[in-house]
Order: sequence, then C-alpha cells, then structure tokens
Amino acid sequence: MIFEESTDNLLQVNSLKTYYKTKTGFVKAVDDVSLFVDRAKVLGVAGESGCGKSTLVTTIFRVTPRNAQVMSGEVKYKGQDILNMDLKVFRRDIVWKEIAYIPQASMDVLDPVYKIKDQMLETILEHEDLSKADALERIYKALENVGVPAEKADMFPHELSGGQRQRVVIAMALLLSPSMIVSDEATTALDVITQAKILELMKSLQENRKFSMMFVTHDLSLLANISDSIAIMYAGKLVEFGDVEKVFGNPLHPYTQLLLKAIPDLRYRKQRRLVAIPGFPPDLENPPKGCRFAPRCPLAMPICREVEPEFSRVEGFHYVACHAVNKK
Amino acid sequence: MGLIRYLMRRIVERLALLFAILVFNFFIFQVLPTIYGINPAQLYVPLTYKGLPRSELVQALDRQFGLNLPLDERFFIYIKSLLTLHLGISMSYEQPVITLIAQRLPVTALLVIPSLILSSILAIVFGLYSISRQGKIGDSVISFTAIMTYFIPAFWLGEIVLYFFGFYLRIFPTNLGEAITTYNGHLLTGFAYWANLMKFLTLPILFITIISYGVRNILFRNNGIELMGSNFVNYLRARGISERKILYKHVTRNAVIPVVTRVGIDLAFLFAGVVFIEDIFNIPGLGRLLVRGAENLDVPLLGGDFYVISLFAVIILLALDLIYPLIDPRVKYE
Amino acid sequence: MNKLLRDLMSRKTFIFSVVVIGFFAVLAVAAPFLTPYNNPYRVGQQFVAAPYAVPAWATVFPQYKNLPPDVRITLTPSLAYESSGEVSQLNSSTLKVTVPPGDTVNVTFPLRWNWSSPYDVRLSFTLVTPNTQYFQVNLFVRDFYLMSLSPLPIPPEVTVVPGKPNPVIFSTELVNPGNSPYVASLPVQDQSLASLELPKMLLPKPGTYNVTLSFVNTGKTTEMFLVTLPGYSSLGYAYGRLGTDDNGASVFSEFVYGARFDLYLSLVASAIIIGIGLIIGLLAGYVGGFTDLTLNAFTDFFLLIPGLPLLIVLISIFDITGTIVNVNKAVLILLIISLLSWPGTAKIIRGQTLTLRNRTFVEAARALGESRMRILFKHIVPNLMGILFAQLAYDVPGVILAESGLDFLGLGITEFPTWGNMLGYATNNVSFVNGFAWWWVLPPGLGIVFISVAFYYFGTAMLDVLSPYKLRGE
Ligand SMILES: Nc1ncnc2c1ncn2[C@@H]1O[C@H](COP(=O)(O)OP(=O)(O)O)[C@@H](O)[C@H]1O
Ligand SMILES: [Mg+2]
Repeated sequence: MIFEESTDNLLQVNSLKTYYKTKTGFVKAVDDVSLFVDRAKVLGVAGESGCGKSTLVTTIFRVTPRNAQVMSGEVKYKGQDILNMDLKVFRRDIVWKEIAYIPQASMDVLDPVYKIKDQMLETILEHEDLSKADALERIYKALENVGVPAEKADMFPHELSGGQRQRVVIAMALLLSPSMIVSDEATTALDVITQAKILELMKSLQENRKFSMMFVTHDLSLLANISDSIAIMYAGKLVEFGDVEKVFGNPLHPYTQLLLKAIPDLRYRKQRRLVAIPGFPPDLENPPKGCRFAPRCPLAMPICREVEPEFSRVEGFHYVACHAVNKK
Repeated sequence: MGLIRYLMRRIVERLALLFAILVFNFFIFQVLPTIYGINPAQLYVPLTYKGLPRSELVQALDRQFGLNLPLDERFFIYIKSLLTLHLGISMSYEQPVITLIAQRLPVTALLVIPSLILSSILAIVFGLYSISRQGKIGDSVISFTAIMTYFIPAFWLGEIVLYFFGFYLRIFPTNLGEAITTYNGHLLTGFAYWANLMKFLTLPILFITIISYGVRNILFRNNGIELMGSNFVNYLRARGISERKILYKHVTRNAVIPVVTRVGIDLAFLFAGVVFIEDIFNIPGLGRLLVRGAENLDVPLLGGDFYVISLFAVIILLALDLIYPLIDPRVKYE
Repeated sequence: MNKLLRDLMSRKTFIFSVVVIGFFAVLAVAAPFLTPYNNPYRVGQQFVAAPYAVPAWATVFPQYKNLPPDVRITLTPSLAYESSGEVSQLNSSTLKVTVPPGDTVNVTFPLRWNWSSPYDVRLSFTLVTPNTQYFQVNLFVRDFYLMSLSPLPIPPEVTVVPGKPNPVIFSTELVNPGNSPYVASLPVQDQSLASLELPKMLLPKPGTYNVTLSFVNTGKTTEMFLVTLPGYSSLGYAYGRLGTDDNGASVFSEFVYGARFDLYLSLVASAIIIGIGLIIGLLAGYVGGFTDLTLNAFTDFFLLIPGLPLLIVLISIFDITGTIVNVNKAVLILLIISLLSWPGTAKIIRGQTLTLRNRTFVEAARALGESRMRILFKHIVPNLMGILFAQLAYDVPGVILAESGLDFLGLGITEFPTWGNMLGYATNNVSFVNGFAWWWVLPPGLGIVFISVAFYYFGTAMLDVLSPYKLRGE
C-alpha cells in the first residue's frame, strides 16, 4: 500500500503478515498491516493486549520467537528491504546505529549477571570501533542524560528500581544516536507518576534530537500528547490509521470510538464510569470470518460477518477498515 | 548490608540443620530401640560376634556410652560424642568407626571428584550443542540419551559394564586388591601404586560420569533453551549482539547457575550417591562401608557413617551458600 | 478438550509414553492370565525348565539353535513286535508281554531326539509283574543299564511288588549307586557327577535312541507282564518367552509379576507423596508467614538428609528392632520411601501456590470476600492440577528406582519377584557359564528404564498441556 501522505518516509511497512506456527495451526498475529513513519515524526500504535503489536515490532527487528514466520509483505527502512537483507549486515549496519529499540524494562530485560556498564559497553563495541575509555565516557553521559546517576553503571540490573531500569534502557537506545526508535510498552509496568516522567523524558529527547519514533502501547491515552500520527490495531489487523487530530477528533472505527470512551477523562473531577468493551478479542488461530471486530461491534451489519472490510482512505491522512464507514 | 545479612542467615540455617540431623540421629539410634524395649547396647553387639560373653560386653558398653541412663541425659552424651566424632567401635570390623571412615573417605573422593568435573564439562559441551541446534535431530538424540541415563538404574548398568569391560574384554582390572599389589602379594608403591589405582578406578569413574551427566545436561539445556527465548536474549539480539556472543557469553553464564547448584548438591551428597557403584565395583569407599554395615547389622558403623555423610553434606552446602553470591549476583537480596 | 487431545497426540514423546505405560499396565493387570506361576520364587514353582534356559525364540540364533525345549511324550514300541506273539497291545496304552520260562523279551521304544542334550531325562511307566519271585525288569537307554526292577532287591536293584501295578520313575536327577546299575558301575569319584553327566550321555545329539525294557523270567512257568507305554519327559534349555533363572523358574512370570508389584507400589507411593506434598506445599504457600517458614525448614531438612543412606539405615534398624516382624515389609518400604520423597513435590507446589495466590483472579476473589477455604479449593487447587498430574508421573520413576535399589542390595523385598530383586539375583549370578543370562539381566533393567522415561515424558506432556497460566508473549 502506498501512502500519499508520507512526505519523508523513513520506515515503511507494506502488507506485512507475521504468523506463529503452533501445533494446531497458525496464529495470525500480524495480518496485512501497512503503515509508515516519517523522519522526525512520532507514530503511536495502540490496541488491546494480544492484538499483535509486539509481533509487529519484533518482526521489524527480526527477533521474533522461533515459531514466527513472515508470510508476506515487506518492511523498508530508507528504501531498503530490511527483512530480506543478510542478517549479519542488518545487525551490524541497521540495528542500533539506525533503529534502536526500547522494550518494556521488565525485571529480566537485561542480563542479570552482568553490570549495567558492561552491557552498555558491549552494545557500543559491537557496532563501533572505540576505545573502552571513550565508550565508558559516552555511557556515563548517556545515563546522565536520562537522569540516572553515573555510579549506577556499576550496579547489576536487579539493584535498580523499575523507573531507573526503564531510563537505562532508554539510554541504551540512544548510545549510537539512531535516526529512529521503536518503543514497545516502554511505560507500562510503571506507576502513574513514574510513567508520566518517563513519557516526558522521551518526548523531550525526541524533540531535542529529532529522531523518529514508533511508540507502541496498549494505552491509547498516552498517545495524544506525543504522537503525530496514530495506528489502531485490533486482532492482528490495522483498523484505523491517520493524523493524530483526525483519529482523536473524529474516530471512525467503532473500535477506536470505544477505546476512546474507555479512557477516563481527567477533566471531569467525578471519575466517569469506565466503559469497558464487552466481549473478548477473538482467537487469532481461528479468527471470525469478515470483520474481526464484528462479534463485539455495536454497529455490526450482516455484511460485516461475511466480507472483510477494505482498508481505505476516508479523507486526507485518515484510513479506516470498516463497512459502516466505507458505505457512507 | 544485604550480603552480610544473607550470609548470616544462611549460616544460622545450616547450623539449625546440623542440629536437626543430630537430633534425628539420636531418634533413630537411641529413641527408636528404646521404644521397642531394646537396650541399644544389645544392638551394638552383633549376633554373630564371637569374643567375650555377650552380657559382659553389653554391660561394658552400657558403662562406656551411658546407654542405661535416662533418655534426656543420654541425649547430651550422644550429641557430645557425635560432635567430637567419638563414633564408637564397629563390631564387625573390630575397629573404631572413625578410623574406618578416615580410611575410606579418600577412596570415595578419588572416585567422585574426577567424575564430577568430567560429567559437568560433558553436560555443558553437549548442552551448548543442543541449544544451538534446538529441535533438530542432534538435539533430540542428545536430550533423549540424557534422559535415559538419568533413569538407568546405576546398579544394573554398572553390573553390565563391569561384566563387559572388566570380565569379558578384560580392559580394566576388576579387583582392587589385585590391581594395587604385585603378583607376589606386596603392595605397590609410588607411581606404580597410583597408576594402577587410577587404572582400576577408570571404569567406575567413567561410569559415574555417564550416570550423573544426564541431569546436568538436561538442566543446562532446558535452561539454556528457555533463556534463548527470554526477554534479555531478545533484547541482546535486537541490539545486534552476535549469536555466538549471546550463546557463549550470556546464555552459558546464566544457564550454568542451576548446574552449579546441582553440582554443589551432588558434591554435598558425594558419599551418599555412590553406594551402588562402590558395591558393584568392589571399591572400599564410604558407600560400601554403609552397605557392609547394613548387611552385618553393625549399628555403630551405620550410625557413624550416616552421621559423617550428613555432616559432610551440611558443610558443603554451607560452603556453597557462601560462594553462591559470586555466581549469581541476584541472591543477596532474596 | 478436543484441542487438548490433539495437542497431546501431536507429541511423539507423549505417544511413546502412552504406549509404554499401556503395555506395562496390561502386563500388570493381566498377569494372572499370562502366566500360571504367581510367585516363581517359591520352590514349587521352580524348575519349569533347566536353570538358565534361554527364551524359546532365541533358538533362531545359531549359538542356541539346538537347545531342546521341555519335552513330554509317550513312547511307542517299534513296529517289529506286531507279528511276534510275545508282545501284544492290550489296549491303547498298555502292552502285554509274555515271557517263556528262563527267557528274556526285550521291548524297544525308539526315541526320536532332535536337539542337543536336555537338562534331565525322566522315564515313567506302570508295571504289573507276575505274582512270582522269579523275574526282573531292566531299563536301558542306548546301552546304558539304567535301572533294574526286581521283587527281591539287592542294590542297585529297585523293589517292585509282585502281582500289583507298580508306578516306576526313572530320573537322571535322582540316580545314585543305590538305584542304578550304571552308576554303581562307575568309579567312586564319578558317581556323584552321574546325574549331571547322564543326560549328555543318553541323548548326546540329534538322532534316534532306543529305550529298551527287558523282561527276564527266571521261573519255571510262562509269565505275563503288563506295562504302560513309557512316558518320556525332560526339562529343556529353551523355555517360554524369557527363559529361566538360576532355579529354572520362569523369568517371564517374574517379570510380569515384578511389573505388577512395581507399578502398584510406585503408584500408591506417588499418591502418598503427592498427598503429603500437596498438604504441606499448600499450607506453606497459601498461609505464608510463620507457617511457611516452619514448614519450609521442615521440608528443607527432609530434602537435605541423604536419602539412600537413610533408607539403608532405617531398614536395618527396623530389621534389628523387630518392627519388620509385625509389619509387612512391602508396606514398610512403601511408607519409608513415601516419607522420604515428598519434599521435592512440596517445594514445587508451594512455589506454584505462591504465584497463584498473587494472581489477579485470586485477589479479586479475596476482595469479593470469599472464604479462604473456598478460594483454596475453587481457585487454587484446580489450577494446580497440571502440576499435580505431572508430579505424580515424575515421582513414579523415583519410587521405582529407590525400591529397586533396596531390593538389589538385598535390604528390601526378597520373597516375591520385583524388578529390583530380579536384578539383584540376576547380577549376582552373571558369569561366563550362563553367557551373561541376558534374558534375565536385561528385562527388569530395561523395564525400569522404559517405564521411567515413559512416566517422565507423560508428566512433561501433562505439565505443558494442563498448565493454564503458561503465558506466551506479552
Ligand atoms: N511464540 C508465540 N507462539 C504462538 N502465539 C504467540 C506467540 N507469541 C505471541 N503469540 C500470540 O500472538 C498474538 C499477538 O501477540 P503480541 O504481538 O505479543 O501482542 P501484543 O504485543 O499486542 O500484546 C497473541 O494472541 C499471542 O497469544
Ligand atoms: Mg506487547
């Protein structure tokens, strides 16, 4: 799919399908997803847990679990097809130098038996020919830039708090000054206050250094302030994609609308009752025929259960896959 | 400091364990017979013993070990004698138990330590091969063999191996006495003694290696494979770190931790684990001493041997606790 | 459910385990139908064939090719007598022999022998002699003068009562200088070996050999003898499905009844282990706090005392103190093994309970004010099922190995077959002479290995399939 709105395209995903092979069939975790990220812009990707966001990210970095298979589609970075590139070349030239990754800094995201410093050092030296002293210098600076005291570099991962660990992982991503950063649930495990601080940090880093970012989260509310464009995923499918104002201001897909309603609005002092979306996401091994959201959709029509809706442009930079919208 | 507290706690725990073992010994060897109305001294004189009249012996033992005192007084005497390693006299060997044990301990150590090292190395080497070839035929074959060796009864395979290599092919000597004496019956000395002893021990050592290799291999492999799919390995890959480095530096270092624990435990139960092998290969070690004790119903020997085996286990476990933080930095805080 | 089954069936290791466990289960259950010998260690059930007889099917191998099976046939006289008046057929199983005074009549029974020598040779017939004192009946095989029957015995002759039916048995096992002229004729030092050597001399190799009864009439009148057709029987060196042990008892029967006992014991012991482990693990994990601390220390203690030495010590002490007299040894071993094996299981259940306790759905139930008991049995125990099943399977090999070890050392069960004591007895008797007795040594060992591996794989499959909270991905 060619997006006309992409002006200075850095990363482009075209009709990507990544399935997991299981004993009983295929889990269609990413099914025909197309999107792009422009230079120095932020794309927010949202959707319920299990809808395939991480699969999308790991496909881009080519670190999917062993049973994953890219069935079709392509991922292009600066016009190069990175999925079919030689893996060694990809890891040497593209990864970390060009695109870096910020995972959720869970307890086991770093090797538990090596010090922070050594793990960062290893990352630099894998890609650049640098003296150890210079590299260390850069590590301390990187840590300070994200608000972690340099002496923490001598600690083991488990000796840091969750917030500190998340900052370390952010520093790690910036070590080689990449042009693009992909963050997957970078703030999810943190308490609300730390979450806000980390988000603030990432936003300011992005503004100062002008890297592109793909910010993946299950929490749509985080995206409003940080993104330029938004992609909404449901059950392996991209259901809505567009400019941040358009998606937030005029959500077209019923799923997006429900997601937005589910966000507690802080402007009202009395917390509104949380609107949860009734029902459960489908089993991705045997997804329903037609639109995957149809079984939970308040607006579902007979055609929704039969024919898969096409992903098409509504107006301007705003795409949606919904029969109800397309018919209008 | 977390570390100091951790170590203190561990030491206290192990001492408590030692105490529990002392009490347990007292229960088995003193209380249990009393419950059944048997004077422990009776047990100390084997039925087959032909020497002084039985009743005289029993009285002498009563006096010497205070066996006719009430249980509570006996408890302190018993604990004291165990702690000071006064383990009594074996009636079937007619020697102090501690002397018997001191003679046999080095033999068992010579048997177990080389195989401990050898099998750990094998387990890791084959484990690495398995991990790097997960799910392929090589991995399946290695894993299946490892599981098999884990479940093969040592006493069974031991007899077969001994018969085949020792008696049938005659590659290895099968009798320790013959192995370390010259043909006219003198004990060999110096290099010849050690060379022949090692030659005699080769077969059992190889055998123990194979028998104990399985668990460690499975532990290492399963752990490694789990780690290969873990978050931090994924993150390492995403950072472009080479597969070799991930496997040999990160995964190995992490997967070896449970193997070290296991080897430590095996080391702790060093003397317990080779009972069958010593029995089969006719090696005069601690395990065989125990079996002889059981066959002759030699209570002082049984008690002493069991106590020393447990004591050794506690000491090794404590040592393991102390070095463990070096291997796994996480433990200090647990 | 269907998906679960499909998942299980797609695992080769699971199929393997089901097949193996099924096979042994059938053996165990059907044991009484598979073999008539329910305890081959009893004297009455031994010597169903020669000691160290190879399995019957092993005769396809060249080195066992000519080994004889157990043979039991009724001999018939050679056709030459049809016409003579002296020997006639009284009925289908009895011959009438008429001997003129002072004469001798020989009746020859050809024995067709297709194998190498058997373990023993046994001939039996019933003889009705004339009611006089003047006769003698002699038994020959080939030219060996094996037996002499007479009314007035002077050793090595054997008595028969004149005029009455006399059951006569000749057996190479029972020969001695007092009952066999041939043995009596040997040099003294060879006489004791005669019972071993005779079968080889009587039937050295395949061929046809004559068994001859010679009726001697030393009286003055014609006399008549009645004799049943002699029955020939011998124990062979090839027997049944798995041959025989050193006592000529059927190894197959031992194996089958061993499987029956081992499976039974290990399943009961595993159930006890799971029971104790579940109670202690659940209590420690769910109640927590001081209870956890105490129970954990208790578990550690049991985990850390050396098991096998303790087992040996305990069994010996029970032996000495006489507890064993009052309690069945199998029960005692069952209890001791169970009581020493639960700690591992308890630890695993504790760990699992701990993680379950903090799961959202349990916390939700707690917040809703459900009672502790209800939470425990409605939310926690059902979710432990996978682990419990797996643990049950994992414990079986441990129990089998421990019990076999004790039996092997001679400290356990000795009165009836178990795989462990089969191995013990077998390996004690292994030597060149019996060619390693592989048919006796291998089955119990392989049985232990296969059933252990099978239970292990079964447990692993159960764990994989039944654990409801194995999360994948994010
Ligand atoms: N290794 C795997 N094998 C099979 N299915 C998987 C695997 N990893 C993830 N999945 C499934 O793929 C779907 C998408 O997972 P994921 O990409 O992690 O979702 P998200 O990151 O949006 O929460 C989920 O239904 C998950 O259960
Ligand atoms: Mg995710």
